[in-house]
Amino acid sequence: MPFTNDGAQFLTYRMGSPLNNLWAHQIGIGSGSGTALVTNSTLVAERIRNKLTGSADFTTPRKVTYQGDFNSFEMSGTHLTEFGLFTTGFAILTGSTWQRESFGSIVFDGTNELQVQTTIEVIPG
Amino acid sequence: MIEVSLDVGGVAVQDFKRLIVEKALGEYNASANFMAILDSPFGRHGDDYTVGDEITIKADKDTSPTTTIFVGILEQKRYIGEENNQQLILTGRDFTARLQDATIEPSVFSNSEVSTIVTNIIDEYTSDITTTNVDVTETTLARIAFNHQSVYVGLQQLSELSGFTYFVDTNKDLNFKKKATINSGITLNNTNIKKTRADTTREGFANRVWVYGYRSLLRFSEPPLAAGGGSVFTLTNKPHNTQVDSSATPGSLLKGGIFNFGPTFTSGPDYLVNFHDRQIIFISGTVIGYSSIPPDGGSILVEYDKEVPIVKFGQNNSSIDAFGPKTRIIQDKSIRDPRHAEDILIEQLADADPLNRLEMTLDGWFTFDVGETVDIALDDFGISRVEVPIINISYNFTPRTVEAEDIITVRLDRKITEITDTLVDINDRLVAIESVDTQATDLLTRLEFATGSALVVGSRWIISTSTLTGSGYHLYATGFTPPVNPFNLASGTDQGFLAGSFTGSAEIFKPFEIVASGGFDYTSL
Repeated sequence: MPFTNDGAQFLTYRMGSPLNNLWAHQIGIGSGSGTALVTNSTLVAERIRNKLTGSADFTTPRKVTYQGDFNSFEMSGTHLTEFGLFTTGFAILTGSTWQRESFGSIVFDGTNELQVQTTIEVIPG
Repeated sequence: MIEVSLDVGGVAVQDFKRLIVEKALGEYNASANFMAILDSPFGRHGDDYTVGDEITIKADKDTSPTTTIFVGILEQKRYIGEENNQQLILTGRDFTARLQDATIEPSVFSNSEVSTIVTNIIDEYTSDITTTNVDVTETTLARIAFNHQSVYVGLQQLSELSGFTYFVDTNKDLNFKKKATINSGITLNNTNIKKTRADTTREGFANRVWVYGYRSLLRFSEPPLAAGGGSVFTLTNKPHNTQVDSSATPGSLLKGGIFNFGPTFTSGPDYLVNFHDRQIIFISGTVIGYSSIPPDGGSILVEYDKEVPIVKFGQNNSSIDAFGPKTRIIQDKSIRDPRHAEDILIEQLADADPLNRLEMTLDGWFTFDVGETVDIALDDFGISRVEVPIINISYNFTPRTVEAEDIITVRLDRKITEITDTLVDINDRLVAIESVDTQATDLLTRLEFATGSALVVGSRWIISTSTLTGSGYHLYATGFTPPVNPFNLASGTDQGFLAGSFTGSAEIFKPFEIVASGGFDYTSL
C-alpha cells in the first residue's frame, strides 16, 4: 500500500501553510563552518534571520520553495557559509532549524546583497 | 514412445520416478492437479524447489515435448524416508486454485447475461486468470446473489444455469464454453482402448425438486374483529410480532403472551398467541384476578407480520414414469428472489435422467482436452454414441507406461455422485447458511497491514548575489541626514523612477547571479 502522491502533497502543504504557527517562515544565515548534518538543530554561527520573501512557493507538485532576501547593509562584512530554515522567532538563536546547508565562503562587503532559495521535496512511496 | 518434461520454478526435473496429471471440468468439484515422485538419495533434493514455484509439464509422442498439458503451482513438498529409500513428493493444483481460494464478496447481479457476470467476477476477485475464452451465453438471469461463496462454486452455479462448462487452460485463461460443442475428431473403439468400465445408475439425479429460499416477514393488518361471543379470535395468517388494540382500552396496546407457555396461567398478559392455529386468545379468571376480554359490541384491531416464503416446486413426469420418483430438496436462505429460485428449479429438472459414466484406459497418445467430445463405438457394451463430452483426463507417466503408451485414462459423459461430492455439497450448504446475514450494503471495517512511506528531503538550494553597478544615484528627502556615508538604499525599498530627465545610470544593483548552488532534484529521476 503506497503512501500516495496526494498524501505527499498534503505533507508538503503543511510545511509551508500556517498551522498553529508551526511552519517554516524564517531563513537565517551565518558564517559558521562544518558539514550539514541531520543532527543540526541550529546554525553554527548565525548572524541574521529574516522573514521569507512573500509566501512559500507550491507551484511544483510535492515541492515547496522558500526565498529569503538580505540587503547589502545587512550583509556588509559577512563571510557567508551557511543558511537554515526556521519556524520560530525573528531573532537569531531562536528555535530549531528544519534544514541547514553549508558551503564555501561568500564575502559580502557592503556592495552586494543576498537572495537564498531552498526547496524541500516530499517523495511518496 | 511418449516424451515428457517437468519444470519446477523454471528448473528442469530429470529424475522423477512417476508423474501423474489429472485434468477435470470445473463443474465436477475438481481442479487439475499433479503429483511427481522423485528419488532423493543422500538428500539429493533436500534444498530444491519452493512452495509457490510454477509447474509446467509438456508431453509429445516420439519427439522432444513441446505440447503443454499442465501449468500450475507447487503447493506441497513431502519428504518420505525409510531405511535406504528417500523420496520427495511434489503436489499442486493448476490455476483453478485461484478460483477455489477466492470468494465472491456480497454482491447481486440483476438482469445480467451470464458471461458478463463471469467476466466481472474473475476481474474483480481473482488474480492471474484471464477471460479471453469466456463465450457469450443465451441465458440472462433476472437476479442472482453471492455471499462469499468461492469463485469456483459461483462459476459452478452460473455454468449449470446456462448449460455451459468451464476450466482453466494451460495459458491461465478461463474457458467458459457451451457443453459438448468442440469435437476432438477422435473415435474410441476396440483399436485404441485397453480397458473400459461403463456405469449407469439412478443415484444422483432427481425428477421432483423443491426449492426453498428466504422467508420474508411482511406487515399485515387484520380486518377489524367484532368483540362478543367469546375470547378466541381466529386470524387470516399465522402471526409474528403481534400488536393488539381493543376498543375497551383505546390507544393502549395490550400485552401479549404465548399460549400453553406454562402449566398454569400467570397474570400480566392481556392475550395469548396460538401461532399454529392462528388465534388470539383473551384471558380472564379468578386465578389471575382480572378479565381482559373486550366487551360485546366493541372491536379488536390486530397487526402482525406474516411469513411469505419463497418456494418453488417442479417435476419431470416422463422421468417419473420411466424411473420412478426421485425427490430432491434444496434449502438456501440466500435465495431472496423467486426468479432465482425458478432458475435453479429449471436447471435441476434438466438432469432428470440416470447418470452414465464411462471410464477408459487408452492405447496410444492423444491430444485433446476436457470439455471436448469424442465418438464411441463399443458394440459389446451396447454403446454407440457421438459427441460424448470428456469430463476428466488422467495421465500416468512411469518408465513402463511411456514405453507402452498406455498413459491416458479418460472419463466421459456425466459424473456419478461420489462421497467427495457429498462432502463438497455439505460444505457449500454450510457456507450458504453461515453467509445468509451478509449483505452487499453491510458496513465493512477493513483491517489491512501494509507499509507506506513518505520521504522528506532537502532538494535544490541556490545562493544568488547582486552587486552595485558603481554609478548609482541616491535620493534624499529634504533635511535627511544619512547615518553612514555612502548610504545605500536596499533594492526594493524606497525606490522609484526619477521624474524628468537625468544623466547617468539609475541602476543601483545588477540582476541577481547564482554564486553557489547544490542539492538534488529527485523528481527529475
